[in-house]
Amino acid sequence: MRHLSSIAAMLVTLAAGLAGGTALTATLLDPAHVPGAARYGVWTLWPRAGAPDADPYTVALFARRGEVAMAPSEGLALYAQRDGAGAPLSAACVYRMGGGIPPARAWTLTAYRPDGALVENPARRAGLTSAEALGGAELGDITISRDPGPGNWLPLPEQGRFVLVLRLYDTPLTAVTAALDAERLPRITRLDCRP
Amino acid sequence: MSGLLLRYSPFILGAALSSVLLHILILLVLPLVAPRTSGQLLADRAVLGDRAGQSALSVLAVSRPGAQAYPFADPAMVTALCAFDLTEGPFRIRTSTGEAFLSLAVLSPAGRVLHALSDKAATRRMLDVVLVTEQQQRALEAQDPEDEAVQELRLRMTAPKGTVLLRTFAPRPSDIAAARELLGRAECRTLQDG
Repeated sequence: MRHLSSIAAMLVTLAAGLAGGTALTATLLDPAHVPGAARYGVWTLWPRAGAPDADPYTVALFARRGEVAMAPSEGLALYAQRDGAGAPLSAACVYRMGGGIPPARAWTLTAYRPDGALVENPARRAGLTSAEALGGAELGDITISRDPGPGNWLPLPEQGRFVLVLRLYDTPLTAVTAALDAERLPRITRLDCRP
Repeated sequence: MSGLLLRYSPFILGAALSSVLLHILILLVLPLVAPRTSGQLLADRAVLGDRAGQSALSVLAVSRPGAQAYPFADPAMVTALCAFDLTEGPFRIRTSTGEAFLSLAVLSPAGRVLHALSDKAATRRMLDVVLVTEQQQRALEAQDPEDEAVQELRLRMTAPKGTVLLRTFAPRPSDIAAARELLGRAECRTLQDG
């Protein structure tokens, strides 16, 4: 009898370990919590994701997403899932991105579904690039919305959650990510939402 | 209370320990077995560099909704790729560069970036890279002429197989054709040994 209860206790211990290990891994591989990520304001970035010395959490996260990481020699990718007030980005809303884009030879701003799928939109344009944007170095605000906005505009799909990725190709920032601060990165402000 | 805690402490400790062990195990195994790693997605489409010296490069269609090279692919980049296997000999990648940003990345079979360089590393608008094993590097160095500098950049690989990804910036829809043509002229081939 005593024997049986200790076997049962061992099984419970193993089951708890199995559940605990899975939960721990799932939590730490959530982009919102993963170690190795740097956060500045609304932006999350993995500066070493595309480097041979990337940490195992970052490697596992990118492998699970199926994404090819950007190498430091290529540039920097910044990801935003929420607006400046902390609300998840939703295609039902209109956003304004302001504050200028950090220095880079070229940049692109693209909207994706949270799983990395490009979004279908009536304008049939998946992103906005430095060559398309009006204003050059004096770039004004970018409107992010389903319906066309004035000036620079990134189209959104009809509905649903989305994430923004700002890619800076050939940027001096890769060498000095420690010097990055939220003040120098674009801000994302929600204007209004459809019901 | 403390008596109870003491009595169950071996089990609590055991559960915590096995949690941590399992966590580390998943973390290390995941990049190798993830069902849709970029490495696998790309390897499916890459053509192995041909020993006959022919270029074996595929230029992918530009990513758009429903047809992406890989998750989170930048639709403003034109992508070309080829697979290499160094057991057949050193592998050469050569591409000319244009005005727009261009990069070359060497990926492991699991999709990890092993080496990457941009067109800033190009000499006379040409990126010329040879992937080698340690042994192949020594063999090539023995053949190098002594009085002139080697033009190519030799990258030593620790594993023999992987994928090469060439990407160039095509910021407007009207830039895509020229970018595809540029990458289409790139060379990916296995060099003869010795």
